Amino acid sequence: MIVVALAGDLMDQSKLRGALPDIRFVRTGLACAGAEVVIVDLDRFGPEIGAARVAAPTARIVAYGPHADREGAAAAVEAGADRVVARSLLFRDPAAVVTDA
Amino acid sequence: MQGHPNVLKALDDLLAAELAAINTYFVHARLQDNWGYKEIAQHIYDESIDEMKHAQVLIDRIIYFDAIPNLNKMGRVRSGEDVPSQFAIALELEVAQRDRLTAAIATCREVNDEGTRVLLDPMVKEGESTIDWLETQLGLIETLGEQAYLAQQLRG
Repeated sequence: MIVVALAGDLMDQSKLRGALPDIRFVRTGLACAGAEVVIVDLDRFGPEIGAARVAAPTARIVAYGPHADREGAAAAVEAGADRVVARSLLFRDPAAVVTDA
Repeated sequence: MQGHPNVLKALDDLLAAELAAINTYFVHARLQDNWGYKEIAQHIYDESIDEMKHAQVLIDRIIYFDAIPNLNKMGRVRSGEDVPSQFAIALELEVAQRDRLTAAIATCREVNDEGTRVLLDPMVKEGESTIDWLETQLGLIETLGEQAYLAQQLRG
């Protein structure tokens, strides 16, 4: 499974790489072309979801952010995210969240 | 000696934030050193040690109140992928901690806990000094451009 992430925080990258060794990190939505799953940090890359959807039209897009940010979650879905999860849920078991995506 | 529950709660929250700051500054300093920005790395390393001293003050106060400090509770450790984003993260941390300290000092005043208040007062001043330094660096990056700013940080 080709998993690409838009995640700028190096701590997030470390945790994701630990769970998903083949994950690739990119900085723009357009760089998500070819991905089957795209993970997006809403804090930093929320505005890139639309471009990711265009670049990877069949990918499942999983966005993550603060638990309480309902507005950000709604905007992510509107921009093309298939699922929005709380940061804590994603990092409890990133592989499971990606599989469930 | 028993501490007021509201003061203990404030000390607990402050400690969780200090523990996150120690780790955040420490990883930033090691990354900056690895990237060759030795002067920034040393400054940020010193900040990490300062935060550790703050944590020690908080831990000692909690123990003084016959409570056990919770070192398992820690705020989120974040790391930017470049120096400007690391400064921005540090600034967020410092501003949030200053607000927590201000609220904690108000709590101390409400319950007449002068002993705790005088321990927290210097932390506000030190935090504001760090905020000023970070704002200055971010301002310089904006004025000079990231590359020109970073070129000045290679000594060491």
